[in-house]
Amino acid sequence: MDSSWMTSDTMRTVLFLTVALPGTGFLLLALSWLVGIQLPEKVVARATGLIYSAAALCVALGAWLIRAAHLPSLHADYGDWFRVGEYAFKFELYFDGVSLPLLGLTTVLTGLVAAFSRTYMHREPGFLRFFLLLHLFGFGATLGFAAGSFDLLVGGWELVGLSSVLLISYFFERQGPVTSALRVFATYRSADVGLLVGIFALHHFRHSAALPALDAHTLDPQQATIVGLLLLLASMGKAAQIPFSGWLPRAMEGPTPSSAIFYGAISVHLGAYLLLRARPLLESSPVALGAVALVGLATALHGVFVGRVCPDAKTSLAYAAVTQLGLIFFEIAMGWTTLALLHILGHSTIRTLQFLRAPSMLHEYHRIHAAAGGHVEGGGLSLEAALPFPLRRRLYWFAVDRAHLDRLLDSVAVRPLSRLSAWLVGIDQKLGGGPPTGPGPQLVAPAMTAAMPEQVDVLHD
Amino acid sequence: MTNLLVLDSFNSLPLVLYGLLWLATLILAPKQDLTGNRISRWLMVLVGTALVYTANHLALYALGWVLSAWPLIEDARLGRLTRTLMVLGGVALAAALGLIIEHGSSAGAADPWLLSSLSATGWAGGQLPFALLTLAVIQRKGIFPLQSWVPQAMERGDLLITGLVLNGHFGAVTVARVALPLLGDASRASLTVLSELGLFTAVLGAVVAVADRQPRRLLAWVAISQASTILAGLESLNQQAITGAMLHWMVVSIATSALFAVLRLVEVRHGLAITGTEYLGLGRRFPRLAVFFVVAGVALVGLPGTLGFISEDLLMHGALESHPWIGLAIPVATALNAIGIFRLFGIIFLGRRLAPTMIVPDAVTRERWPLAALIMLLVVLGLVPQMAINLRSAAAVKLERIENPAAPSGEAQSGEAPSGEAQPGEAQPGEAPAGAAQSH
Repeated sequence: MDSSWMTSDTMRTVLFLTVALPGTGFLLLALSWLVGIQLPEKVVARATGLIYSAAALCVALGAWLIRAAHLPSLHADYGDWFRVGEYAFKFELYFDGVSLPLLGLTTVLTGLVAAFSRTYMHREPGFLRFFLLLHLFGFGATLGFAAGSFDLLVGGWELVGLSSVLLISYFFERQGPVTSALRVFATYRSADVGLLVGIFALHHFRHSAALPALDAHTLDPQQATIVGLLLLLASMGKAAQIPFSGWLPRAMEGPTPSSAIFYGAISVHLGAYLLLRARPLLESSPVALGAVALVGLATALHGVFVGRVCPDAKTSLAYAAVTQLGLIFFEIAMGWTTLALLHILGHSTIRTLQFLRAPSMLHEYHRIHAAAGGHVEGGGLSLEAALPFPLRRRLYWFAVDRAHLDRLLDSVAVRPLSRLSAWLVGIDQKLGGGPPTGPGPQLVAPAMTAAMPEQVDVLHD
Repeated sequence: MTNLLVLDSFNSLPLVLYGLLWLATLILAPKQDLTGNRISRWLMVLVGTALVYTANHLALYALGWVLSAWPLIEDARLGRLTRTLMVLGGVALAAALGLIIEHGSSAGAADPWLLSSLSATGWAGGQLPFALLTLAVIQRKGIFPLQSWVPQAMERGDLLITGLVLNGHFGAVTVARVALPLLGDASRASLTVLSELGLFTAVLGAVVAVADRQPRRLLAWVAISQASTILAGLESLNQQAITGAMLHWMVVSIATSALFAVLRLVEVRHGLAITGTEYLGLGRRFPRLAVFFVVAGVALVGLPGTLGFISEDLLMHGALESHPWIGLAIPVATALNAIGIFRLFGIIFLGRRLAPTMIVPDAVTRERWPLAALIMLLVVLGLVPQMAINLRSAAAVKLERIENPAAPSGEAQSGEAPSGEAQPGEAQPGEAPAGAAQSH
């Protein structure tokens, strides 16, 4: 067989397409919308299917080529994205045994979710918006998993977060999704400070944030602890680890297919992926490793506990995902990285299926109940029954309130910040002589609506 | 009378960009904002800004400063604070320039009124002119403790005109064109204080935006916060950070122009003052305006896929050594600002529409294409940033050489300076490089 085409350039091109295809899909859909072309649902769905099928094929072909060339990994440098003086931001992708499976998972599951959504989102007013954001997510996730440096990983990471939040507020005419989206966005952005400062610190200590060169001797223990804890903070936000787990049930306000791909599969596992990539650094710091293990175990217990009292299917699935993510964190801390990777792959697949199945499953339950002429009792053991009633009630209240974590975050972060901000606003308005008393900024038409009496407090909702 | 105005690698691109933004804003402005009296204000801001960007003669510089501030000084709706601060800034600038001219005369400058002559004399004076210039810069850029005029002017006055005044970025221009080249060591040492105040303002503005609900004020705080980091970059003695600061200047100008315009268009369509105490749910009715708002907001807070991501990356990496706090200030400020922008987006475009508003269209053609051009600029330059970097590299190298004469040759460093751009060392700010356009 002529193998002349199996060159490094072919591999680089094939794998580049994995990232470029979803991005191209997003740009094309966005431009068509901008110039006013109304694409039929069928065209949008078919183009999406085609894009993700091609991307999945590219991943498979790239993996096969790397294997055929007996390479352990491929570090593809596509040159400088931009350069100023001695500083260059390289566009480099890194394909190895960690990124390739996750890229395959992302392209396959996103394509499947897109196929499912063609029917599920049929005739929704925001059909095109949904697919646009799905492509943006696909681009962000593939970029994040394929990034050859933490700097580039940030790009994918932020795009995933942005698309996630915009999809949570998909049904934006209801207040619930809007307030939930803001809360999720605030959580993401707060935790992302850890990622940005961590990368900044990595540059400060090491003058590089490239992934392939990371090893256990990259930083001394103290530096590794600082960077490790900052990256852990970012991972905790993305992967809904305690104390940030409260955003995940709020995120269920979005359409079910997006819940499946974001919170059952890819988005939440991006946090675990960051730790997998940072694992060589974490090895230098027992403190950071201990923190990862502790957070993971505590979150797993928290997820089990809260998940047992969740009243609806999607929230219940969300806490099941939280539990598994906690275990994955623990596995990473223990150094069981292969197990963690397999856990991510298996968990993503099964959880996506469960999320996509949830609406029809509920419908079938209702039919079974109706056929049985009443409520069908659930089976299984109730270990809680062995506990004394007062303790059981206390624990129930504790679990229903999701271990008071949202209240805790509110009291230690949101409220103090809001109070400080309100105090500063008050000072500023006093300095400026209070609110305007005149006709105001150019009122242009007589009042046609009555203002809603109550104020909207989006951060505390 | 020679060399009254100069165009060089530092001011030419900002001047063109400002002109385009002014034009775009004018096209986007609702008809009711373009009455005879208001058009004269628009023109005053344009002429004043162009003078400050290009003046080589200090009298023209001061005239430009006053002209651009005049629409706010004469606007009775703005209240005492804004008008007093605008006057204070002008007086401080005039006094500083007066002291500089006096020093130039005694130091034997060929023409003490010309920036190019003064920069050749070297500075041996005291700190007073620099302190006065600092005061003017702090006032005009809305840096702590003189930041309050910006939200007040935005809230009470003409939103678009105030936006144009703010987007002149006179603070950065004055630092680059006057303070650094003329005041020498006096300014280099003390500019650090100004930069630290800028970083503090970045965080302060972002924190205030968390609770302020009034959309105009909220947007003003976010704009102040994002613009405040420019000074830290300019003063960092480092080519990356200086380039980052210049790109950030572009980002803040383009993105806030789009955001102010969308907010104004929504206000006009909604027909009521937007108080921020309710969700307006206008996204269904104005989807294009909503998208323009989101993209401009995302660019302003430095999310990827936009020029904002590039500028903040350069700012953070470049200013790492000179301002270690920038590594914390920018992430914290942008995180909070992003929340503020999303909150504002929610207030305007999300939620249930409570009652009917007038039947008005989404962005009409006259509005759609200027807004599309602005956001396309942010996105395209974000995806292919080298083009924008090359346009600013000569100016960045020149500023770096002024701040740090021992810096290695910029030509060797960047290797990207486009042909036809002034090379480092060819000209000082305020002095036209060979081949540059001059007005005689």
